[in-house]
Amino acid sequence: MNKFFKKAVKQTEFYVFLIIIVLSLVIQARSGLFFANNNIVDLLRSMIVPSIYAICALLAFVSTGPDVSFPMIAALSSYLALTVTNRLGLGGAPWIITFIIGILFGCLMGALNGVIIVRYKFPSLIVTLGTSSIFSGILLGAFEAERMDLPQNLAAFGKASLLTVKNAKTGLGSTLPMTFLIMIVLYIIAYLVLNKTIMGRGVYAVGGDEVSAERAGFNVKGIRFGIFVVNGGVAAVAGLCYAVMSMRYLPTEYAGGEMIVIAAIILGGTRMTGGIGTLKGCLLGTLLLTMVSNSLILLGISVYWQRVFIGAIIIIGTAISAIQSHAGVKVKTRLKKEAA
Amino acid sequence: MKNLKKFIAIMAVAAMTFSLAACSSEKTTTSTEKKDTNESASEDNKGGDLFDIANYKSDKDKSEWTIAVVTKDNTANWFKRMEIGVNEFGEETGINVIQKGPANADAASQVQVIDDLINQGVDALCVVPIDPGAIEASLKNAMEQGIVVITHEASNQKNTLFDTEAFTAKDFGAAIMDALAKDMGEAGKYAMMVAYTTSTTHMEYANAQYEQQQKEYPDMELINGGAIPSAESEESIDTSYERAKELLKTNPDLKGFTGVASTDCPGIAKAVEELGLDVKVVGVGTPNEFKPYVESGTISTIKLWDPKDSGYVMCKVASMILAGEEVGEGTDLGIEGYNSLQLVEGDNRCLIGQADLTITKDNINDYDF
Repeated sequence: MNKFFKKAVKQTEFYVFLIIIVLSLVIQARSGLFFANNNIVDLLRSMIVPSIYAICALLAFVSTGPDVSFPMIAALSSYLALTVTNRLGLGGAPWIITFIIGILFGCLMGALNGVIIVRYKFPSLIVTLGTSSIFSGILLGAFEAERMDLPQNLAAFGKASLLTVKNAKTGLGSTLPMTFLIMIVLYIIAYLVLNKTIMGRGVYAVGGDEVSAERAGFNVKGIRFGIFVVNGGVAAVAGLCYAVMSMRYLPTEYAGGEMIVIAAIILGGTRMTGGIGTLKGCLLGTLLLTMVSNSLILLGISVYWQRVFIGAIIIIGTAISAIQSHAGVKVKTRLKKEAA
Repeated sequence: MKNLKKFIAIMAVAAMTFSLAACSSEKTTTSTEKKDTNESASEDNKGGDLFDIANYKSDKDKSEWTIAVVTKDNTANWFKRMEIGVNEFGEETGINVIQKGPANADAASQVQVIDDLINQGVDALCVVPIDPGAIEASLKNAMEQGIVVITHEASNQKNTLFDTEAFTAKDFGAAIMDALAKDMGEAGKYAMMVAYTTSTTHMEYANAQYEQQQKEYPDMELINGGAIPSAESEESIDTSYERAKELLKTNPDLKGFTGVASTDCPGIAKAVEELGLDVKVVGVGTPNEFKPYVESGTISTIKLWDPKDSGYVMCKVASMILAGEEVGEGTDLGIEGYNSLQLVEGDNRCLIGQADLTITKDNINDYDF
């Protein structure tokens, strides 16, 4: 137990977890509603899309660098998936068909990112900024996408619920949509691939030290290209989940989703310099930020102060993990000195 | 082959850095310029040069005029309805009309669209601003080049010849409150939502609602001790849904809810229906989008004005100025609700009609937009 605790204290995730506990107790004390079953379900529902996006952000940061194109890939590929489904009259087909169509388009867009970044060694931030601008232009300019209703299969999928709870005290209910399962499945796959396969370890190796990874026999270019293709596919899933949960396709609501997600994963301990970052951290970071933005009314914070509060949480959270990791570095250098 | 690759790579880098530099430099210049124009605008106001509509009479033939309408977001049904009015005006008069919207519904993209249209040399710009402050510099620039500038839904826009409104924000806010009060039996708690606290008109509606309630309906109470607004939807149905759910959780005795952006009411109504509560929702939005909720009774009344008429009115006023006609108090624009305009001088000159619409379950099928 002692050993486990010592190990935990060294991880950023542990501190994020502490902040979450403290914050939830504060919210509970002020509103008395935080631990109500319907509030927890609402929170889980709100987490679904950002935490799928978080996988994209994590993979990109760990292996290469920032990727900011995922919201626009999500918007464009879901639009294409819905349009193709409608045009081909696939409204009666199982929902997974529409998702697969979306994933294919997403992978294609991700591949464009990958080719430019890997082939020409451009900084991923600039490339993905550029491509997301292109995708946005194609979506709203060339296709003139507008708000539209979902095809039958997705509408039915959106209406189905995984779990329905009712708060006995207030009589208020809440439902957890099926998309929650999609998120869980994605996380399980990502966990297995990242931690149990050579390819997954390669993702970390490439981001940690490119030259060493290459000497160790990893196909650096291949891994990076693959990451962006996968990111495109994952983004497409997130985009379709968002549409399914809103029960409508809303083209203008995707843009701008990347910053809060990136803030969340950095909070969760992902290093901007690459090589370090865990799925556990992603989930915790996303949970923390979702919790904050969804509890400001419960806390009774005025509309005008809500953004200040969110900003403060991001900075405080990152500061705590940064201080803790600086401390870690100091200990290591001291150990090295002692050894020398 | 290798040289070609290098060339392509260099070109791509150049293009990307250039576009990035263009974006960032533009933002900084507009913000620094804004201060200057605000100061000089007030000076010009005294001289009256830039704001004298007689200076905008066009020497060109009517058929050579181009009137451009810039919206907040051309993908929204609301602005598609506006386009119908704009095109109707074009067909009726033979004047060239175009309607454009920004790629993203943010102020910076709208500035881009306006600047592009100025460079294309249009004769009149009719703008529905996302953030009036952000486009002051561009609009001033347009007016300096002799382009007629008309706005809509921006009573605090300084650099405009006329701001056109379907009604005063005060009257409309009061009308929303009257509808809500009627639907919830003039008693109980209510909440308000706006898109952003920076959206001027939304805040004016919200304040007017509260004033009307304080004056006429003493048994009603705004939650959170009268804090206006209760929440922001950030122009997103999903955010509106989540905020509404939160407010309903913290205020289980809520009886009424108003939302003034088109994204507010669908989110609120979805939350109310999901929680199975009896809360009356009154708000602003298009009949087609709200139809399911109006038919189920959750959204009890839609208050709005017809964007088709607003588009028509902006173009009409612009064309009258280009033709050198008088526009002011009592002007008749020849469509219902705008037969005798009221002129209010505040931050700008506001032309106001009496064109508010009330839509309920009974007449929703008469409006198809």
